[in-house]
This record gives sequence, C-alpha cells and structure tokens, in this order.
Amino acid sequence: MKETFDYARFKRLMLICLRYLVLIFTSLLALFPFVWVAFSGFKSNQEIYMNSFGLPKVWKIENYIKALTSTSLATGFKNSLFVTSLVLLLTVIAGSMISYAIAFLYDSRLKEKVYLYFTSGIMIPMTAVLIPMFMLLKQLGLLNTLWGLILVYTASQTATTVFVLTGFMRGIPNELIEAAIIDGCSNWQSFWRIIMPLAKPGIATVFTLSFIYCWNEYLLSNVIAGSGDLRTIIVAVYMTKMEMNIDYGLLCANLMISMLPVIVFYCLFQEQVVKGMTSGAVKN
Amino acid sequence: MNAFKRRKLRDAVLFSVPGFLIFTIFMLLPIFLSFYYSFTNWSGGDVTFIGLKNFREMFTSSEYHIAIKNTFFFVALSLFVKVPIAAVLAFLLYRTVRGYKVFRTVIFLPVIIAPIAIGMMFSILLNADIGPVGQFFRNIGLKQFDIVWLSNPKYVLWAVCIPQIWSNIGLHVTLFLAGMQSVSEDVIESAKIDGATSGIIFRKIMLPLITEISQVSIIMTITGALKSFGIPWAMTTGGPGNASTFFSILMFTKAFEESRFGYASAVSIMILFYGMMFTVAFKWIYKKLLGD
Repeated sequence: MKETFDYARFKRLMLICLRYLVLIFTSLLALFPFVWVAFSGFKSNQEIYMNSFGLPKVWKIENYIKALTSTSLATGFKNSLFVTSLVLLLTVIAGSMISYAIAFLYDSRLKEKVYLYFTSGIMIPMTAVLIPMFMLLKQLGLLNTLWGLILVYTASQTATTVFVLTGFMRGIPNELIEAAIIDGCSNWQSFWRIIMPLAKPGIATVFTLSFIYCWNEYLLSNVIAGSGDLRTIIVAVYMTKMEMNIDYGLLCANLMISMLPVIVFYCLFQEQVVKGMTSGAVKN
Repeated sequence: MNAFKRRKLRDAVLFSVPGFLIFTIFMLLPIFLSFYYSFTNWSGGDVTFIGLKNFREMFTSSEYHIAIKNTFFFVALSLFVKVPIAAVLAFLLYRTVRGYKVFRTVIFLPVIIAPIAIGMMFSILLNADIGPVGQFFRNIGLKQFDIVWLSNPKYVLWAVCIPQIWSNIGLHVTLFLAGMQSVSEDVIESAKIDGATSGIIFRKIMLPLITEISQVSIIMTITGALKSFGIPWAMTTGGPGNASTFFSILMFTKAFEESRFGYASAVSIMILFYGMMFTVAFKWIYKKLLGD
C-alpha cells in the first residue's frame, strides 16, 4: 500500500507550494521599488544606468551622507517632528475628551447627535475644504506658520479620533464612572485617572493613524507651510526633486531617508498599524 | 433637572468645547464656504457672485471631461483588477498558517508610505534613461515597451494608475483578510468535511459572507480615486497636457497655480458631490441586495 502514489496528497502539496509561490512573488513585487531605490542610493548615475539590478560595485556612501547632512532635509525633519508631536497631543486630548462626554456624560438623546456631528467629518475629503481653509488661515494670520498646519491637521483628525475612542470607551462600564463620582471624583479626575489609562489601546490606534497621516501629508503642508524653512519632510524631499534633477543616486538617498522613520515605526508596531488602519478604513 | 444632571451636562459641554471649536472652524465651516465660493468669481481679491457660471464653464471644459474619464478608468481598473486580486490574495493568506503575518506585513508596507514619495519612486523607476522598468523590457527583448512612459499621452494613464493600485492593494488585502478571519471556523470546517475544495469554499462560502467588506472596498476605491493626488502629482502633475489629470489635481492647479479660487471651489464641490453620491448609492444597492 505504501508505494502507491497518493494522488490527493500530491495535489495538496502542489497547491500549498503554488500558494507560497504566489505569496512570495507578491511580496517581492511589494518590496522591489524600496529595495531598488535603497541600493540606487549607493550608486552614481552611470552605475544606475549600467548596473540597474545588481548590488553597487562601488558603494557611493556620499549620497547618504549628503542626504543625512542636508540642511533642507534636517529642517524638514525638525518641522515634521514638531508638527506631528503637537498634533498627536492635541488630537488625543481634544478627541478623548469629546469621546468621554459622548460615552458617559451626554444623555441618550444628545449622545447620538453629538457623535454624528463629529464623525460626519470622516466623509469630508480634504480637497473639498482646502481653499476655504487656506483663506481662513490667511485671515487669522496663521498662513505660513506651523501652528496653522497643526490646527488644520488636528481638525482633520478629530473625526477619526472620536470614532475610534468613542467605540472604545463605550465598552467601558458606566458603573465605573458612577462609582468614582459618588466617591467624590470630579469628571475631570475620573477622565484622567480612570478612563485614560483604560483607553490606552484605543489611544495607541489614534497615535498610529495620526502619526502616519502627519508624516505623509503633502497637500495641506505644501499650501499652508510650503516655503523655506517651514517645510515638512515630504515637502522638503519633493523640492529636492527639482533641485537635483540629474543626480538620481542622491535623489534615491534623499527619498530613502525621508521614508525611513515611517518604515522603522511600521517595523516596530506592525500589528498595531495594520489593525489601526484597517479598522480606520471600515469607519465609513 | 436636578443639580447632578445639570453638572453632568455642564461637564459634557466643557469637555466638548476644545474639539468642537477646532473641528467646526477648520472642517465644517470650510465646507459651507466652499459651496459659497463655488458660485463666485474670485482670484484672491474681490469676491463677485456669478451664480452657476463656474459650473457651466466646468461642465463644458475638456479638462473636466478628461478628469471624469481618467477617474472612471482608474476606478474600473481598480474594481476589475485590484479588488479581485486583493480578495484572492486575502484568501491565500487566510489559508496560510505558517508565515502569514510576514506576508501580510510586507504586502501592507506600501500603504503606509507617503503618496508623494511613492510617486517620486515610480517616476525614477519609469524614467526612460535610467529606470529599471525600461531596462527590464530591453533585457527581455520587448522593445515596444521601452518607451517614455510618463510623457506618452497614450500610456501615461496606465503609468500613474498602476503605482496607485500597487500602493493601495495591501489595505484591501488586509480588509478582506480581516473579514474572512471573522467568519466562523465551524462553517469552513464542515464544508471541508463535506468535501468542498478551496475554490468552492472561496466562491460559495467566503465571498457571500464578506459582502459587507466588498462594499467597503468598493466605496473606498471610488472615494480614493476622487481624492487621488499625491502619486499622479509627483509623477506627472497631471500631464502631458491633461492626459493624467484627476479631480484633485485639477482643483489644485486651478486654485494655486492659476489663482482661480471660485472655479477651483466648484471643482472641489464636485469631488464632494460624487463621493457622497457613490457612497450613498452603493450603500443603498447593497442594502437592497442583502435585504432580499
């Protein structure tokens, strides 16, 4: 019996192999552009042309050194870091306060209305509000300031934040708050001491979504703070495209450096990022 | 109303105020202003009310029709290529026990990268002189594909749509995967015991059970196409001519390069309108389909 050819087993094995082959091929397709750009960052123009697919024969580290020491990229990093951290702080505080009010404070009649009011923002594409936003900031004297950008980013993140955090806080039993209030806690205290620590996973999701949004956003950033030393990293790296149209190796190095923080962040928190962005997508 | 309730309501309002102000001033107010501006002639100075003139001009302009045509092309390509591939890949991942997380992580990677950076990457990859895509076609002897992708009006739309699909498919794969993982395992197990093959499980069990996800996926594809900006902007800025333009690019160019804020507002209203219309329409269609 043992020698007979087990056709079903063979077919199953072949299917498993095929499945892995498809997945490996897809993964290579997803990685190829990044790998190609990363290695081309070590090449000269001539080598990119002559030796497109191989490892660099002469490792031209100068490109990466130039990218790392370039003042425009360094300024971009500094600005992006400043904007991103303030947006994260403001979004989480303002958003979780609203969510707390929706989950525990408003009576059942108002609850849904307030929730709808804020989450309606999810449907609004930023392109539809760009022009009035620009004019509003101009009037308020916030155009060409990073603060203008911070306010606008925070506003654009409010809807998603309220959506995620309210969903999360609704899972926390109301009795917890009531007991704390009876013990003499104010809402402010119960918000900071009881709910915020319990809402940590929800806050982590909001952090990831907002971090990636702020780091990658170009349209608003370019329009509101697109000049000189206010540029965020993405605007700065896009500008280098014009400045060095000829040196592709250096351009690749610049690109790689600008993407690196998000890639590192993703490698560290991949589970969190994938779950956060997937749940953020189902929102509408 | 007793004192306790009153205090609760007062706190509720106080807790909502900071977010309310930021959100209302910078998100909701601008929407209404957009409507107003779309009926005006305005180039940064005086605002004059001109009724529907912007819309009339837009509907008869060739750029608007090209933007519609391109958006349709992109949506169709996404729906017929991206969404089915994403569903199949998700099913392959679903059936993979060993290492599925590694594959998922890699396939998702492009989703988190800035669209502008992706556009820049692909404009280098497709560069006619040094790009590896041209090299690849030269090496395998398909000279007819060794072309200047980004300035050829015939192929440029493909060249800006495929990177967008590449960068976004990972999100749809994980969406479908999440949907499949929430399907009860008993259902799949009993189907297997009854002798169902993978293909049958996929078509007859998985697909009907994840219609909700496919609805999300389709709506996201359409609204995403309407918002599409970073990748085509970094690759071609909508050119050559208007050959690879999309609504957001049209809006941006009109507003910030030609200073026609009134007209650009009309374009942005159309973006909002089409987004809402398709979202509502698809939700209605799905409701009908699932309700019966």
